[in-house]
Amino acid sequence: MDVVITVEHLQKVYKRQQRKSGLHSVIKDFFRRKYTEIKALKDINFTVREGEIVGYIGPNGAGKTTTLKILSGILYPSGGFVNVLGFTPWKRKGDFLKRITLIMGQKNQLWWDLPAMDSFLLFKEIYEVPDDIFKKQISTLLDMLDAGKLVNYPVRYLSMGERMKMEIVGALIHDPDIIFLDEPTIGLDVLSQTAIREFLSTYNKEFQKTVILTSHYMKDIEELSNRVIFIMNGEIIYDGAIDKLISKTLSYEYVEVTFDTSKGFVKKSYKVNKEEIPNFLRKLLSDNSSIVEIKHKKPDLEEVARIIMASNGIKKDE
Amino acid sequence: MSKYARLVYNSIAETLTYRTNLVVSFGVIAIPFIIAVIFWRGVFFANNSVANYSLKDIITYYFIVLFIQDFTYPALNYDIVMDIKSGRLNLLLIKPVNYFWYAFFLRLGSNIVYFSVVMFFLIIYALVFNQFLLLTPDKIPVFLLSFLLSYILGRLISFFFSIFVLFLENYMGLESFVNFIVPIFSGILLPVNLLPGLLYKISSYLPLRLLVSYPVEMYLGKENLNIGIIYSYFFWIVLFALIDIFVWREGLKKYRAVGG
Repeated sequence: MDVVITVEHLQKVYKRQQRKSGLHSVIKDFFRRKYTEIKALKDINFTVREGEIVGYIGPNGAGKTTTLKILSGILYPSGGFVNVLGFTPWKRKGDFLKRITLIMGQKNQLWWDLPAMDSFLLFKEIYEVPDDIFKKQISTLLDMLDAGKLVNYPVRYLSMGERMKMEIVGALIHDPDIIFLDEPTIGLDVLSQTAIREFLSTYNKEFQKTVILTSHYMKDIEELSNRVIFIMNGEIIYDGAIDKLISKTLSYEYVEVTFDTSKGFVKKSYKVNKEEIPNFLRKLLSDNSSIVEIKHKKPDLEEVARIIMASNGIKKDE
Repeated sequence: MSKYARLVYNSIAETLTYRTNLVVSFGVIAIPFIIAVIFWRGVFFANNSVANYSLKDIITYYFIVLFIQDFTYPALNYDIVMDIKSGRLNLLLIKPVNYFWYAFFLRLGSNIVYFSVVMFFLIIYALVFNQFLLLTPDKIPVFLLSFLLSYILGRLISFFFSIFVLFLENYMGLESFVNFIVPIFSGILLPVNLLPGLLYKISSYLPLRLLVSYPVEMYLGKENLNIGIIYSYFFWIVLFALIDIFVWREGLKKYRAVGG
């Protein structure tokens, strides 16, 4: 598969006003402002191949959304090279914009007071989608999301989950090759999260679209992508398979044991060093005759992410 | 339907969504006009004419102002301001659409609704109080040409004020400046010809009087659309088009694209 996104030495610096409290500082600040430079992105490098789904994760303020905004052409970078589908994003050429989309869980692009279909028809004209292709695309997307009944209600009457379904339809009307997803499941209930996740998974499998996904719900990332890029303080600290990140970060795994006791079945979970699991099991089986079931469970991405964020980087857990 | 026709359609549909809000906001449209008429009737009680304006001229002046101000008055466009401040602009920047024209046609939708309502008022007023309005059909072609040029210039200046917000943390100061300066020098408050010496001189260096005062004065026959004025229109239109392009390009480099 061809490389469709190349990012080299990407940097983004913001200026942030600095001010102490107190009247003296207020007056001083009025005449002479002090700014500090915030390096939102320090030296970001990665490539993405056609059809890949990449999870782009990190704590709040790490630089995830800033990266997506640069890749989609919203923001100018402070330095570095970016190529998306052969284009420089921030030049915002029409041919480039017709091949990408950005879905932001916290921003609406649909007209609030109008039925979603009115927004879809506007997007159809903006992206110059022919009538027959528009009808086919709308029908496919609405079927996949089971949302055909929602298009004729003003958007403001829809629930958050329903609204996100409509936002997704609106963002995919022009059949983009690259989809940037910025926290698409934020604020949604479990059912809606699952529906959106299933849709994205099916859509990617069926149409082989390239996706970069940011989310604070690690389940989104685990279910949708194999590769994860972990960013902290504007720097990439890991880029690779999720399994490898887990094994690289954590030296333990879980053994869940169900005992048959006088009080009924009792479950216990043991955190065991990976290398000691065979010995642990041997000892457990020799010491207990009441074991009904033993399950081996690896830590999930959420646990790994929590540990990495708390320790401000990847350190091998002991 | 083209993208801009669809945009105008959506804008009209959205403007008509909230019926009570619409009725109330259009209900107050005529209030500044009524206050101006009351004030000027007081002024004319003691004078037959003021600087070559009769009472009929003045009433007609304010009526035409009421009619054209929504199109030509270069106020901050709050659709643009809110797009920038809320970060909603993000999702428009990733679309293959020119944002100036997007904002222009979005506004045109509400302009059309406003025009329809004021037309309704105009017909009622003309039927009931026609003796107070100066009907000069021979001036209408010149007025319409001037109005068209004022409309283009007004949108360009409004776009300039609105996208200037890209450089500002807070737009309230700019808003106050626009709301204070523009009515004085554009002719919303009173005909620019009636401004006292220094203010009148300042107004002659600004493009603002071309937006409201000039088209109306042409309707009243106080001004002629001579070649000098047409050059003046084109000068300011070209200048603000270039300024808009520059400010937009530079502003986007400063744009923070707030919010996730």
